[in-house]
Amino acid sequence: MPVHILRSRFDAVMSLIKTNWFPRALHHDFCPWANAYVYWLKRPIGWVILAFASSLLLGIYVSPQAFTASGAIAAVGIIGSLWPWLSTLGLKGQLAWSPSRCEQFDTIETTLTVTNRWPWPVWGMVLESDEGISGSSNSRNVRISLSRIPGLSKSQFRWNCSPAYRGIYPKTTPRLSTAFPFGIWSCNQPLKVTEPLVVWPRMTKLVDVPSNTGNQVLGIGGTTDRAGDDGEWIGVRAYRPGDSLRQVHWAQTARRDNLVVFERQSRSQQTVRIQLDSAAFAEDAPSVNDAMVRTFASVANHFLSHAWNTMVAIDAPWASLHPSKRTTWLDHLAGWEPTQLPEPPLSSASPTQKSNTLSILVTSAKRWDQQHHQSIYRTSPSTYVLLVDDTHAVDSARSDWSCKPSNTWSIPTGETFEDSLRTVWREICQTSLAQGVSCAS
Amino acid sequence: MTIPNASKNWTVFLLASLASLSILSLRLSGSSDRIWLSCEFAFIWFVAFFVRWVSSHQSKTNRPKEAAVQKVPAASLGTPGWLLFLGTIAILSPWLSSIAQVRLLGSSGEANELIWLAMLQYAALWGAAVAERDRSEWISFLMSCFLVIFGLATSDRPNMIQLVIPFAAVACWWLMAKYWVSIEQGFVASESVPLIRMRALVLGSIALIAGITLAIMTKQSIRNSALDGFMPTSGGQKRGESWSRQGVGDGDMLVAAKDEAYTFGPVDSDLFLDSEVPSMYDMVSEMYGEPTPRQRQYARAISLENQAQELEEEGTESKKNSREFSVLRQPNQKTQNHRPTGSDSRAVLYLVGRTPQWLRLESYDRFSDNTWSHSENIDLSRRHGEPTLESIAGKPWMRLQSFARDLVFPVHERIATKVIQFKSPRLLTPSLITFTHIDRIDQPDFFSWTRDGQLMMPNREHVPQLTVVHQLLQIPQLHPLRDTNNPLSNISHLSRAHTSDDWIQRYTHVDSTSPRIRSTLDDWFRATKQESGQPTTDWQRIETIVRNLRTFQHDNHSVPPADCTDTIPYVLEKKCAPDYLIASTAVMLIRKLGIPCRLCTGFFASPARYDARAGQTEVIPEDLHTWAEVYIHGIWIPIEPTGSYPQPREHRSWQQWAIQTAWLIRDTIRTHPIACSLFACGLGLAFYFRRSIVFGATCLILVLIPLLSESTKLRMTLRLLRWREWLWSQHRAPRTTLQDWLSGKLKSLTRTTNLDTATFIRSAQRMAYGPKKNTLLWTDHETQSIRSVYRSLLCSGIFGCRRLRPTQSSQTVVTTPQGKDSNFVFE
Repeated sequence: MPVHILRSRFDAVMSLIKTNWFPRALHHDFCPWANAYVYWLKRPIGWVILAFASSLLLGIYVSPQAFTASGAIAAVGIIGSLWPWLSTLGLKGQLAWSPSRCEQFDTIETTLTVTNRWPWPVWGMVLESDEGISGSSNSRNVRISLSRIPGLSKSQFRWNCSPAYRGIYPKTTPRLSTAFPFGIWSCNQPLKVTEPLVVWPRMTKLVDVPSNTGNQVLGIGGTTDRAGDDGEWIGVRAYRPGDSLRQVHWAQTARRDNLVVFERQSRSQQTVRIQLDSAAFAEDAPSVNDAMVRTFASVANHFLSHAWNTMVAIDAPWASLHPSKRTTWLDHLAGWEPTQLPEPPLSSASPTQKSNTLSILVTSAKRWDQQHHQSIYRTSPSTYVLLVDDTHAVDSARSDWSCKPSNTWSIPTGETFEDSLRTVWREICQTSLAQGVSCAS
Repeated sequence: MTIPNASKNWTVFLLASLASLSILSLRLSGSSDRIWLSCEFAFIWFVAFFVRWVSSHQSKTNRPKEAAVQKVPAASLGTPGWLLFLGTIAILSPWLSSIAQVRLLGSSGEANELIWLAMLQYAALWGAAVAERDRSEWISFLMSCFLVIFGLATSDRPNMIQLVIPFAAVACWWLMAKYWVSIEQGFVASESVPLIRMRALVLGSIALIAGITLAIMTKQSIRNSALDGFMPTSGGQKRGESWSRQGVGDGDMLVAAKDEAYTFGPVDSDLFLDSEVPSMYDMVSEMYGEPTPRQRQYARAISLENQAQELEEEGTESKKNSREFSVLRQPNQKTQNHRPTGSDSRAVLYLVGRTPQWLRLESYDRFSDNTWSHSENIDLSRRHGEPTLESIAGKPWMRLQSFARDLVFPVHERIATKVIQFKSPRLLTPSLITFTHIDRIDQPDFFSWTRDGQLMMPNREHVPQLTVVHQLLQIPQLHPLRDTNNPLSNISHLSRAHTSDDWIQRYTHVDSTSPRIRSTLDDWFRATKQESGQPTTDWQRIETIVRNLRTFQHDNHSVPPADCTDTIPYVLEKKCAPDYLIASTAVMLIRKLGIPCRLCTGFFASPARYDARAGQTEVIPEDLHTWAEVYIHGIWIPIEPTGSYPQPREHRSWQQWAIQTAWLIRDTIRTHPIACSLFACGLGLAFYFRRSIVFGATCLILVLIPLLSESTKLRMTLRLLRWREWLWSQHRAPRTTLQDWLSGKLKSLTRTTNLDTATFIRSAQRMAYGPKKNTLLWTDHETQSIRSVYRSLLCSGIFGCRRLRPTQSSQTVVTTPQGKDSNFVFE
């Protein structure tokens, strides 16, 4: 048989062994029933105890020379256990962030103040904290470590941190732990936190603002001389069916012998309703969940900054946002977690909602595909649906766009999320312009 | 050819190599094909080394990213196939080698266990060579550890320890390095400020060390320290120092300096001139005065023959040799200090051991014509027997005597004496001495007994100066003598038949015929019987005599007149005498009961002269003393009838001690009923008011401690209130708010205005529920109210609580901040 065939077969066999049999053999649990009894071997101290017991038994029954080994192992075990305990005994620490509120991926300064009340120094401390804030800006996956804390001293450690996830930290008590010198047993000391760190979802700066007020230019703030229901009365007109009897101008009515009503100004501040579909949150799609919240926050913040009457809802009755309560709302959003409650019904249009109120729904493409909401939003031309999707789903979704209503927009997650959001938003504004509304930028 | 990039760490490879060597030595020890096995090991090791070296060099050029190294997918291995194949061959090589040994060399091969061990050994070695992940390194490390432990346990070769020690050291270092490497990537910079300034730290450490050292040096119990070592530079501590110069345990050179002229010693022979060293006679004369010369009536004077003159001189000589001791003496007005040239010490001897201690030198049995002397027909040396040599802790000790177990505590105590300036061949010993030891003296005939039963060095004029004499003694336990049911309690010899040769009879002879002795005894015994109401034993009668004699005043200058014929009645009448007369009286009174008793002279080592720094007691000429000894079932028990000296020690069990204490308390209550009643009432009142006392003491302490900040005062006030609740076992009702609790407490315990109380409560609420801050800022009014409440609470604790009494006459009405009027008056 030719050599090259032999070689190829050999390579195939070795490849099979390497990629299939051998790893499978290494990772297969041959006796799962024993896991409950040997779980302690996962920790190094378990091996030390096992080695000590083995050498002790060997010393008793085989040869007294094994006592030397058992003594050495016992010494290592005792030193490895006592040293970390003694090290952490006199430590007291405090963790603080500056500033205490930030957005995702912002660089903030973390200060760790450790007081060592014992006369001996402590080496090899590690900060155990929530994922996302336990690393530095340069290497988020590497935990912060302290090389040495001198005895009878107060040490301050500072580093820059970029929280990767929104939330109110710390979610778990941060601890200083050490397993120095041998790494077989670790002891820890909880840290005090003076003020929690609130990480808001990262908000993308949007540029355009869609309008829903016809051909007229909007005024920002106050009322305009356009007929409406707010502000001062600007004139009278004939009664139309549907007008409230409170608006009847009785004097003019008596003069003209026809019902005449007041005409009032209208608010120049338009209303937008933004809803986040909490049922779209899935545990297996953290990037989609994060992107949905970011989209929701970015859009709401954008309208708020343009003095729109912003109404937001997340599984709850609509709440009106005010610029003075922006911080409170963002704090709430930072700490919000989707609940396990049954799927809440999406808020349908309230009886007082006018058909031309701008509505924005933020949901996921997967959820949209369940076609639960299309019927609700199909008939409303001023409703826009933002579908957050991960990168893989975008390709498949494109082929299905012809089935979606024209007011749905997909935003892929990933590194280009912010650019995609801006692009989509611009398209939304242009679309609203093409549909006969003016777009003020 | 690519080899997976392995970590640069050669430590695991080194550990595997050391483990392999341990197994190799095991294989070689039981094999006849050592060269074959060595070549096999060397070949495999070099291949592994080569693979290791190449991989470590390759990592310099194309080092993968950290993520790739750490997160190699489990579904695939980065190791090339040929390397796996080679590793498999290496692991199987011991089995193949054994087959080759049998087939090619015709040997018997290796045992299966050794083959498996060798396979594991090569697996560990190969694993260390190609390890590319932490887990692989750990597996190789664990295998190496197992191999070493197994090799150590199964091999009896000494070189195994030579492998194990470096293995252990390197393994510890690898563990430390592994942990350090796992965390070093996250190190951040720091700034440190010391909590204690360096100067204060250094000074504080020095002060602490000095304080501990001082406490250790002065804490040793002065009177209860048994001899276990000696003074500084003395050569003690169970090892010799040749050149030590001071104290009891002097060095060999100093001891030898007296005999060998060329030997170094700080003492020259001129320093201690024998002629200047006082004898016992000199000391007695100096302390008690010269004996009163007898007035002799001469009818005629004739010249005496030489023989008579010799007898006269012999008599004088006998006095100087202390064979006689007259109780009629003329006290000296001046004292002469015998001091060796160049020395400021007046010490006659030094004692190391427990004090007080009575060191006997001489004992007398015959009292006639106001003079104590030795009877010629008594030779107590025969009763003691010759000393016998025994070895104790490798040292030659002389066993002198043994005592009945019922009357002595079996545990020996040890003392040591060193004569400085005293001339006598007799050794100063305690009464119940059992063993003696002088360094390097192992001849029993070095010691002997005098006729009066005193240890001495025969054929010597005196004990050499600076000789250290170690002695073991026992302590009497006399409680059986107080038990009337115990046969040992009968110690009187009145009812026993004596022969004329019975030496005991000499110790029961009373020369005085004065009726006062009997009448005094009757009075004392009657009083004792009235007190106890129970029959007394002989020993209790002795104790009665001693107890009454101890009430006599001790005055060395209160001597009987020169013409006194019988000093005993004189002492009983005057009740003031020197110690030798009181002791003589005690001997006579005890002899009257038929109990053998004798007079002893010697030195009393006083606890007041204990030198804590040197750990020894100095005995000076003024410590010359006279006491008595009672003969009880073969033991001479010392008694102390002089009141200004402490009683000799007696061993008591804890039950006896408890009974004695109870009787002592009873006697104290009987003798001081008013004081005891007052004390008991005081105790009762203290118990009744214990809570108030404790609380008041706490408040008093706080008054003395100045508290600086108002926050601290506020906290302390709350703590005091809680402390008071705990003391009075009051519990705060559940769901009681801070305001309700405080308002009730402060109203009842303090005398502050309602405004101050309300302000204080608000401040407490602010501290308890407000945001946590390191410092709280208080307004002036709040500061004032905190101080007022705090001060009032302290005063109420110290002087007692006074409730606020509401009154209705014209008083100041205080409006509370809530607008409620209050009718309470603040006086």
